[in-house]
Amino acid sequence: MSFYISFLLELMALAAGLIYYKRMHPAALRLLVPFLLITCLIEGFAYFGLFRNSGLNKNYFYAGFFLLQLYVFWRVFVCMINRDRYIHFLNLVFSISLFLSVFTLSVWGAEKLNPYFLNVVCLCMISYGFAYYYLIYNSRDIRHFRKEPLFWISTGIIFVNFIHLLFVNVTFIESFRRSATNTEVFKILNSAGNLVYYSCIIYGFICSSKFLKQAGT
Amino acid sequence: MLLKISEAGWYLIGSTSLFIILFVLFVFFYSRVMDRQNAMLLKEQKIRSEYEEALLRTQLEIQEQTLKTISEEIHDNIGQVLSLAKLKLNTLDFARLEILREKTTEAKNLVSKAIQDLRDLSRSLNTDTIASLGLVRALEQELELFQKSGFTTSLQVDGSIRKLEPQRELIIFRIIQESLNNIIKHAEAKTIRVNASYQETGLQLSVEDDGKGAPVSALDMEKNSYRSLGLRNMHNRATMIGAVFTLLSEQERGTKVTLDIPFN
Repeated sequence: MSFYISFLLELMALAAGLIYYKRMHPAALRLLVPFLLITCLIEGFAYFGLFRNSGLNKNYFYAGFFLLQLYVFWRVFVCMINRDRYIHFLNLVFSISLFLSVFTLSVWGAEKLNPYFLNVVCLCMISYGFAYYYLIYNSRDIRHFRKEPLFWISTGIIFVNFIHLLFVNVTFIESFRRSATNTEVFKILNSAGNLVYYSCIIYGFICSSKFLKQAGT
Repeated sequence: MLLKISEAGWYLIGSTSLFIILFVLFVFFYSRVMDRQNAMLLKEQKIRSEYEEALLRTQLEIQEQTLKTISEEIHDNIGQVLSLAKLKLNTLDFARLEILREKTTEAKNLVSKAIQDLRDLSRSLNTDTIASLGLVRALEQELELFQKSGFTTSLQVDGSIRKLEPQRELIIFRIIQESLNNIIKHAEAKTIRVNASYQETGLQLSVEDDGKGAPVSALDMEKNSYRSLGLRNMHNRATMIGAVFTLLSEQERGTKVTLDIPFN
């Protein structure tokens, strides 16, 4: 059940992305549309067992997916922020995360979900989000932040990645790993996180299409 | 379906719930702070745009007045001098050499005076000159011109001279220039005293004459509300740059205009 909720939200976000694709402003946001398509494909393939049937390990795809996520959001944030200081910060976060991701994957592998790698990804995503919060907080311009797509995207990624972070770290507890019901608990919490995340992405797309009208262009 | 949740599962639920509550609170307070900050910025922007508008209005006013001064100067002074020179040249009688020489010399002197007047006028109106010379030097030059016109002038500077922003100095100079012009036009004064006192917090400038006094009531002076457009403009310009304009006048005992300009 929780899978269907998450999957439906992913499809809705993808549909919103496709609907608003041409009207999206800044255009960097369009990068999220193919990313959402890949998300839907990987999640769908994994759930319906297509990877298993083809003799493929889904965890390799997830590892690639998370690396792609680091890159896509880094590009989106860098293209949409025009302050050098923040761009340098994002570049630094991205470079360190990429290095640590490669390191953790090479040491602990990707055959199973690698908690060290996932920690790096989640922390990186949370840093992107908070960097944007900090940017608008320090801005000397009047900003209608509730109408800014990046505000919603930042809110969404902080929210969902924090839940993931909590889950990933709780898996270090032996008793948690042993109980199958705990995975169910995580799935429910993950659905709640996804609900907020994809709602924020959809609202971000809507804001991005209105951005042009507001700017009068 | 009812799940049998282990201790670690409860730990996850608890920490996630705590995070959600904290995050919602954070977003709520963040939004409030941002709204407050935006309102403050909006207010600041409004004040800045009002100031810029007032500055622009003053600049246009000054420009208008400058053109008026040029027109008056050309009509009343340079034009008269040149007309007289032309008259002298028209009435030249080549048969009478002695008178011819005398009239030619007079015409030459008149043309020289017109040239000098034009030079003075140009110098006095050029904003670049004021910006490059600085306020005190520009005032000195202005008073030199008045001295040439027969007034006894003096400029006293107290304290160490401090340069203000060029735009402010120009407006201050124009206010002083206007009060000096008022002395010529209306005061029938013989002496003009200008005092510039540089203090720690600001500059006090005063222009004093020994003329017949300005037709301003004591109440108007006290309230700083003037019927004369010129005085009103001076007062408004002073207010715009954050200065205080005061006029004190007594019948047959002269007028004193004071400007108190804070440095900040």
